[in-house]
Amino acid sequence: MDIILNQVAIWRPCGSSKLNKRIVPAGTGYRTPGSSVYQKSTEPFVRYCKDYEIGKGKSKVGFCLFVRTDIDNDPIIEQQLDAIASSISLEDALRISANSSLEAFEYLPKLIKLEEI
Amino acid sequence: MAASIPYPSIVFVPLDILTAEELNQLQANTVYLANLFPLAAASIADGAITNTKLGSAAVKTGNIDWTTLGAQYASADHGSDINIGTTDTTMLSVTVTPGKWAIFAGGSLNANGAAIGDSSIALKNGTSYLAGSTRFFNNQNQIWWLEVSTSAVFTATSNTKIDFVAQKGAGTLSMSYRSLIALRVG
Repeated sequence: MDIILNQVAIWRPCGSSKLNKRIVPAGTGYRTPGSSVYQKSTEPFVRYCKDYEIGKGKSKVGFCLFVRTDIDNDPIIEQQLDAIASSISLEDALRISANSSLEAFEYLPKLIKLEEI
Repeated sequence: MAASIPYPSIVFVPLDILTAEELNQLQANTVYLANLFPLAAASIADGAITNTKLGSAAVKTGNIDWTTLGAQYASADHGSDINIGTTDTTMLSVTVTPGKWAIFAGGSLNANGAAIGDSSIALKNGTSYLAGSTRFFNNQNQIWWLEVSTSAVFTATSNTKIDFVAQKGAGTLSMSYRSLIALRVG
Protein backbone atom coordinates (compact mmCIF):
# COMPACT_ATOMS: atom_id res chain seq x y z
CA MET A 1 0.00 0.00 0.00
CA ASP A 2 1.27 3.48 -0.88
CA ILE A 3 1.73 6.51 1.30
CA ILE A 4 -1.21 8.85 0.69
CA LEU A 5 -0.34 12.30 1.90
CA ASN A 6 -2.67 13.83 4.49
CA GLN A 7 -5.03 10.85 4.53
CA VAL A 8 -5.56 9.32 7.95
CA ALA A 9 -5.13 5.56 8.37
CA ILE A 10 -6.23 3.19 11.11
CA TRP A 11 -4.09 0.35 12.39
CA ARG A 12 -3.67 -1.76 15.46
CA PRO A 13 -2.12 -0.07 18.53
CA CYS A 14 1.42 1.15 17.86
CA GLY A 15 2.37 1.46 21.52
CA SER A 16 2.24 5.23 21.96
CA SER A 17 -0.71 6.79 23.75
CA LYS A 18 0.88 10.18 23.21
CA LEU A 19 1.27 11.83 19.84
CA ASN A 20 4.32 10.32 18.18
CA LYS A 21 6.13 12.18 15.45
CA ARG A 22 8.69 11.11 12.91
CA ILE A 23 10.33 13.05 10.10
CA VAL A 24 9.92 11.36 6.73
CA PRO A 25 12.96 12.22 4.61
CA ALA A 26 12.74 13.85 1.20
CA GLY A 27 12.75 11.43 -1.68
CA THR A 28 9.97 9.29 -0.21
CA GLY A 29 7.38 8.07 -2.69
CA TYR A 30 3.76 9.06 -2.08
CA ARG A 31 0.39 9.80 -3.70
CA THR A 32 -2.09 12.54 -2.98
CA PRO A 33 -5.69 11.65 -2.04
CA GLY A 34 -7.72 10.58 -5.04
CA SER A 35 -4.72 10.52 -7.36
CA SER A 36 -2.98 7.51 -8.79
CA VAL A 37 0.07 9.50 -9.69
CA TYR A 38 3.08 8.39 -7.75
CA GLN A 39 5.58 11.08 -6.92
CA LYS A 40 8.63 11.63 -4.81
CA SER A 41 8.81 14.23 -2.08
CA THR A 42 11.26 17.05 -2.52
CA GLU A 43 10.89 18.22 1.07
CA PRO A 44 10.70 16.17 4.25
CA PHE A 45 7.23 15.61 5.64
CA VAL A 46 5.98 14.31 8.95
CA ARG A 47 4.41 11.13 10.16
CA TYR A 48 2.14 11.38 13.20
CA CYS A 49 0.57 8.49 15.08
CA LYS A 50 -1.36 8.05 18.32
CA ASP A 51 -3.11 5.19 20.09
CA TYR A 52 -6.73 5.34 21.21
CA GLU A 53 -9.11 3.06 23.08
CA ILE A 54 -12.81 2.51 22.66
CA GLY A 55 -15.23 0.57 24.83
CA LYS A 56 -14.99 -0.27 28.51
CA GLY A 57 -13.77 -3.16 30.62
CA LYS A 58 -13.34 -6.44 28.79
CA SER A 59 -14.77 -4.99 25.58
CA LYS A 60 -12.09 -2.31 25.43
CA VAL A 61 -10.35 -2.23 22.05
CA GLY A 62 -7.27 -0.29 21.08
CA PHE A 63 -6.37 1.15 17.71
CA CYS A 64 -3.91 3.59 16.24
CA LEU A 65 -4.47 6.50 13.88
CA PHE A 66 -1.57 7.66 11.78
CA VAL A 67 -1.01 10.10 8.99
CA ARG A 68 1.84 11.35 6.84
CA THR A 69 1.45 14.99 6.17
CA ASP A 70 3.23 18.08 4.96
CA ILE A 71 1.65 19.99 7.87
CA ASP A 72 4.17 20.13 10.67
CA ASN A 73 1.99 21.28 13.56
CA ASP A 74 1.62 18.99 16.54
CA PRO A 75 -1.40 20.58 18.33
CA ILE A 76 -3.47 20.88 15.18
CA ILE A 77 -2.71 17.38 14.01
CA GLU A 78 -3.45 15.91 17.43
CA GLN A 79 -6.72 17.80 17.63
CA GLN A 80 -7.81 16.42 14.28
CA LEU A 81 -6.72 12.88 15.06
CA ASP A 82 -8.63 13.04 18.36
CA ALA A 83 -11.74 14.20 16.53
CA ILE A 84 -11.46 11.38 13.99
CA ALA A 85 -10.83 8.83 16.75
CA SER A 86 -14.06 9.83 18.47
CA SER A 87 -15.94 8.94 15.28
CA ILE A 88 -14.54 5.40 15.09
CA SER A 89 -17.10 2.76 16.03
CA LEU A 90 -16.38 -0.20 18.27
CA GLU A 91 -17.14 -2.52 15.34
CA ASP A 92 -14.54 -0.82 13.15
CA ALA A 93 -11.98 -0.96 15.93
CA LEU A 94 -12.67 -4.67 16.46
CA ARG A 95 -12.34 -5.38 12.74
CA ILE A 96 -9.04 -3.50 12.54
CA SER A 97 -7.75 -5.23 15.63
CA ALA A 98 -8.61 -8.63 14.17
CA ASN A 99 -7.28 -8.00 10.65
CA SER A 100 -4.19 -5.84 11.13
CA SER A 101 -0.75 -7.20 10.49
CA LEU A 102 2.59 -5.45 10.25
CA GLU A 103 1.67 -4.43 6.72
CA ALA A 104 -2.13 -4.44 6.70
CA PHE A 105 -3.90 -1.21 7.63
CA GLU A 106 -6.80 0.80 6.27
CA TYR A 107 -7.02 4.34 5.03
CA LEU A 108 -10.03 6.19 6.37
CA PRO A 109 -12.00 8.63 4.21
CA LYS A 110 -10.61 11.32 6.48
CA LEU A 111 -8.10 13.97 5.53
CA ILE A 112 -6.03 16.31 7.61
CA LYS A 113 -7.61 19.59 6.69
CA LEU A 114 -5.42 22.51 5.79
CA GLU A 115 -8.22 25.05 6.28
CA GLU A 116 -8.41 24.23 9.98
CA ILE A 117 -4.92 25.52 10.55
CA MET B 1 11.02 -5.06 39.71
CA ALA B 2 10.25 -6.14 36.20
CA ALA B 3 13.13 -6.03 33.78
CA SER B 4 12.92 -3.56 30.96
CA ILE B 5 14.55 -3.69 27.57
CA PRO B 6 16.96 -0.82 26.80
CA TYR B 7 14.64 0.84 24.28
CA PRO B 8 11.06 -0.04 25.24
CA SER B 9 9.35 2.69 23.24
CA ILE B 10 10.29 2.25 19.63
CA VAL B 11 7.13 3.33 17.84
CA PHE B 12 6.50 2.61 14.21
CA VAL B 13 3.54 2.27 11.91
CA PRO B 14 3.25 0.66 8.48
CA LEU B 15 5.44 2.17 5.75
CA ASP B 16 7.81 3.76 8.25
CA ILE B 17 11.46 3.54 7.27
CA LEU B 18 13.60 2.87 10.29
CA THR B 19 16.73 4.92 10.70
CA ALA B 20 20.14 3.41 11.34
CA GLU B 21 19.87 4.62 14.94
CA GLU B 22 16.55 2.81 15.43
CA LEU B 23 17.94 -0.33 13.89
CA ASN B 24 20.80 -0.10 16.39
CA GLN B 25 18.24 0.25 19.19
CA LEU B 26 16.36 -2.81 17.96
CA GLN B 27 19.64 -4.72 17.86
CA ALA B 28 20.39 -3.57 21.43
CA ASN B 29 16.98 -4.87 22.52
CA THR B 30 17.63 -8.18 20.79
CA VAL B 31 21.02 -8.57 22.46
CA TYR B 32 19.49 -7.70 25.83
CA LEU B 33 16.79 -10.34 25.42
CA ALA B 34 19.32 -12.90 24.22
CA ASN B 35 21.37 -12.31 27.37
CA LEU B 36 18.30 -12.32 29.58
CA PHE B 37 17.10 -15.65 28.24
CA PRO B 38 20.26 -17.59 27.34
CA LEU B 39 19.52 -19.87 24.44
CA ALA B 40 21.51 -22.92 23.51
CA ALA B 41 20.88 -23.64 19.84
CA ALA B 42 17.09 -23.77 19.46
CA SER B 43 16.30 -24.70 23.03
CA ILE B 44 16.35 -22.97 26.38
CA ALA B 45 19.59 -23.55 28.22
CA ASP B 46 19.75 -25.86 31.18
CA GLY B 47 18.73 -24.08 34.36
CA ALA B 48 17.34 -21.06 32.51
CA ILE B 49 13.85 -21.62 33.90
CA THR B 50 13.61 -21.40 37.66
CA ASN B 51 10.83 -22.87 39.75
CA THR B 52 9.42 -19.46 40.57
CA LYS B 53 8.65 -19.01 36.87
CA LEU B 54 6.45 -22.10 36.81
CA GLY B 55 2.81 -21.78 37.70
CA SER B 56 1.41 -24.50 39.91
CA ALA B 57 -0.92 -25.54 37.11
CA ALA B 58 2.09 -26.22 34.88
CA VAL B 59 3.16 -29.19 37.00
CA LYS B 60 0.76 -32.04 36.46
CA THR B 61 1.02 -35.69 37.35
CA GLY B 62 0.69 -36.57 33.67
CA ASN B 63 3.91 -34.67 32.92
CA ILE B 64 5.95 -36.35 35.62
CA ASP B 65 8.14 -39.32 34.85
CA TRP B 66 7.17 -41.47 37.77
CA THR B 67 9.68 -44.15 36.82
CA THR B 68 12.54 -41.85 37.80
CA LEU B 69 10.80 -39.57 40.27
CA GLY B 70 8.47 -40.29 43.12
CA ALA B 71 8.07 -43.90 44.02
CA GLN B 72 8.95 -47.43 43.08
CA TYR B 73 6.48 -49.99 44.19
CA ALA B 74 6.17 -53.74 44.05
CA SER B 75 3.62 -55.99 45.65
CA ALA B 76 2.45 -59.58 45.62
CA ASP B 77 -0.20 -61.64 47.24
CA HIS B 78 -0.50 -65.20 48.40
CA GLY B 79 2.98 -66.31 47.64
CA SER B 80 3.84 -69.93 47.88
CA ASP B 81 5.88 -71.27 50.72
CA ILE B 82 9.39 -69.97 50.80
CA ASN B 83 11.79 -72.66 51.81
CA ILE B 84 14.66 -70.90 53.41
CA GLY B 85 17.85 -72.73 52.82
CA THR B 86 21.42 -71.63 52.72
CA THR B 87 20.81 -68.55 50.67
CA ASP B 88 18.53 -65.56 51.05
CA THR B 89 15.24 -65.69 49.17
CA THR B 90 14.08 -62.61 47.33
CA MET B 91 10.39 -61.97 47.78
CA LEU B 92 10.09 -58.62 45.97
CA SER B 93 12.39 -56.25 44.12
CA VAL B 94 12.37 -52.68 42.86
CA THR B 95 15.02 -50.75 40.96
CA VAL B 96 15.76 -47.22 42.10
CA THR B 97 17.46 -44.56 40.04
CA PRO B 98 20.32 -42.34 41.26
CA GLY B 99 19.12 -40.25 44.17
CA LYS B 100 18.10 -40.52 47.79
CA TRP B 101 15.42 -43.00 48.76
CA ALA B 102 13.44 -44.01 51.79
CA ILE B 103 12.67 -47.71 51.56
CA PHE B 104 10.29 -49.80 53.52
CA ALA B 105 8.48 -53.06 53.13
CA GLY B 106 5.88 -55.02 54.93
CA GLY B 107 3.41 -57.82 54.79
CA SER B 108 2.13 -60.83 56.63
CA LEU B 109 3.72 -64.21 56.95
CA ASN B 110 3.17 -67.60 58.42
CA ALA B 111 6.33 -68.97 59.94
CA ASN B 112 4.84 -72.43 60.09
CA GLY B 113 5.88 -72.74 63.66
CA ALA B 114 9.48 -71.86 63.06
CA ALA B 115 11.21 -69.33 65.20
CA ILE B 116 11.54 -66.00 63.55
CA GLY B 117 13.26 -62.85 64.62
CA ASP B 118 14.41 -59.49 63.49
CA SER B 119 17.05 -61.04 61.32
CA SER B 120 14.57 -63.18 59.41
CA ILE B 121 13.52 -60.41 57.04
CA ALA B 122 15.74 -57.74 55.51
CA LEU B 123 16.33 -55.29 52.69
CA LYS B 124 19.34 -55.81 50.47
CA ASN B 125 21.25 -53.77 48.01
CA GLY B 126 22.76 -56.42 45.81
CA THR B 127 24.82 -58.48 48.21
CA SER B 128 24.78 -55.95 51.06
CA TYR B 129 22.13 -55.68 53.74
CA LEU B 130 20.71 -52.22 54.29
CA ALA B 131 20.95 -51.06 57.86
CA GLY B 132 17.50 -50.81 59.34
CA SER B 133 15.01 -52.41 61.60
CA THR B 134 12.47 -55.16 61.31
CA ARG B 135 9.47 -55.37 63.54
CA PHE B 136 7.01 -58.23 63.98
CA PHE B 137 3.79 -57.81 65.81
CA ASN B 138 0.27 -59.08 66.29
CA ASN B 139 1.10 -62.73 66.36
CA GLN B 140 -2.15 -64.58 65.81
CA ASN B 141 -2.08 -68.29 65.19
CA GLN B 142 1.42 -68.08 63.80
CA ILE B 143 0.47 -65.25 61.46
CA TRP B 144 2.85 -62.34 61.85
CA TRP B 145 2.55 -58.85 60.58
CA LEU B 146 5.86 -57.32 59.84
CA GLU B 147 7.48 -54.20 58.62
CA VAL B 148 11.03 -53.38 57.73
CA SER B 149 12.58 -50.05 56.95
CA THR B 150 16.02 -48.60 56.45
CA SER B 151 17.43 -46.59 59.32
CA ALA B 152 18.84 -43.95 57.00
CA VAL B 153 18.11 -42.58 53.59
CA PHE B 154 19.62 -44.83 50.96
CA THR B 155 21.70 -43.02 48.37
CA ALA B 156 21.85 -44.68 44.98
CA THR B 157 24.65 -43.54 42.70
CA SER B 158 23.40 -45.63 39.79
CA ASN B 159 20.34 -47.71 39.00
CA THR B 160 20.19 -50.07 41.95
CA LYS B 161 18.06 -53.14 42.57
CA ILE B 162 16.62 -53.32 46.06
CA ASP B 163 15.48 -56.72 47.31
CA PHE B 164 13.04 -57.57 50.05
CA VAL B 165 14.40 -60.88 51.27
CA ALA B 166 13.84 -63.68 53.72
CA GLN B 167 17.19 -64.40 55.20
CA LYS B 168 18.76 -67.79 55.09
CA GLY B 169 18.06 -70.08 58.00
CA ALA B 170 14.72 -68.61 58.87
CA GLY B 171 12.87 -71.80 58.21
CA THR B 172 9.92 -72.25 55.92
CA LEU B 173 7.90 -69.10 55.50
CA SER B 174 4.65 -68.55 53.75
CA MET B 175 4.33 -64.92 52.74
CA SER B 176 0.89 -63.62 52.01
CA TYR B 177 0.31 -59.96 51.33
CA ARG B 178 3.58 -58.14 50.89
CA SER B 179 4.77 -54.94 49.38
CA LEU B 180 7.99 -53.02 48.87
CA ILE B 181 7.99 -49.28 48.45
CA ALA B 182 10.83 -46.87 47.69
CA LEU B 183 10.05 -43.18 47.96
CA ARG B 184 12.40 -40.70 46.45
CA VAL B 185 13.30 -38.01 48.96
CA GLY B 186 16.13 -36.23 47.22
